[in-house]
Amino acid sequence: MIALTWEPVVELATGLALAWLNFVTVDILMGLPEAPGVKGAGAIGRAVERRGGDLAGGYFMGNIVCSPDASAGTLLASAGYWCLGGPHGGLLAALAVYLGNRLCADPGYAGTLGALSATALVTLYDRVLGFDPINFVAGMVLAITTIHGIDHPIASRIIGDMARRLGRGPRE
Amino acid sequence: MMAELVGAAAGAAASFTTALAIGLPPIQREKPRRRSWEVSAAFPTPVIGAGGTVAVCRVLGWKELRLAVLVGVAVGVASAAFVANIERVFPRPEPG
Amino acid sequence: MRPAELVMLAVLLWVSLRLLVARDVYAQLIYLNVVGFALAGLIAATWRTDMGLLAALCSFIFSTLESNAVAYTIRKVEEIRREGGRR
Repeated sequence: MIALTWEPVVELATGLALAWLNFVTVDILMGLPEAPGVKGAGAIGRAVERRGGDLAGGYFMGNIVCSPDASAGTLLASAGYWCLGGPHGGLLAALAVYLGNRLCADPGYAGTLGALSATALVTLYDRVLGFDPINFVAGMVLAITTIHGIDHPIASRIIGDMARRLGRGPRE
Repeated sequence: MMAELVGAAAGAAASFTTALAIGLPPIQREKPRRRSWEVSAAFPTPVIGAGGTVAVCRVLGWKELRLAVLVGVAVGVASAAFVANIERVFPRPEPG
Repeated sequence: MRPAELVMLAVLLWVSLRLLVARDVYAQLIYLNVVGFALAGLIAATWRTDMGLLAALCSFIFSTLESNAVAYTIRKVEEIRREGGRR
């Protein structure tokens, strides 16, 4: 039976905000909107552009689908924190994300950095704010839904805009 | 938890110093660094050192501080060796 | 069931429906990526143990590997078809 109280809503909203900021910032700074990392990412990016989206945002989304990036790092690091009960879970997840990156022809900076910064954030979330870490995990799932689950062209334009502002516009 | 964290820190430190000792550069020299396929002592070596320490401690069930640090040092040295030979296990993709 | 698990389940169901009605296969791949996230989150949430984490890690990373392979192959087939048409 789930009680209708405010605490989960506040915790989920905070988790969503922190997870979103973490993965979007790290991924943009690590260059995901600049170019497709693999052929599949390029195809996805161009498909989003054809539907009225932005190519840089499309490359961002395609790179997320085709390799574990900071979004994967954030999800798995927070899941690691939850399962193992502390930041060492995040460190284990960072290792797994790095190995996944190498298997997907990705040098691995975005995923690993995203996992490490997420470990720090979820530790603050648990120790300083006192929130339940599972709400950070669910917050990350909501965060990826805002980009990949609602409207691809609109999301790609928002990301593309942010990317150009941070000097990571498309190079191809 | 604290023991595993200290062990992971030991793993990261041991892997970083061993990597420098065996000749890996302290940080990627190619720029922009975020696109570089080079390995260095700063990345990915400490990630593998720390993560590997946590994994081994969990598998062995060693939660005491001294044992975790011991695992950290051992895994750290091993991960530096692994990273130096990473091209043999995970070759980089051909350009283009 | 915790509120977090309910949220992840709702995301899973919503995105699966969008996946089934989507026209473009590349859009389907993007929705499938969210399915991978929600599934890994639910696995980790349900089994709060080392094995639960390992299951979530493997599930997510291998699903990404598969999506990478699928996207590459679909694109490759498109290119081959285009080349074949010109000859």
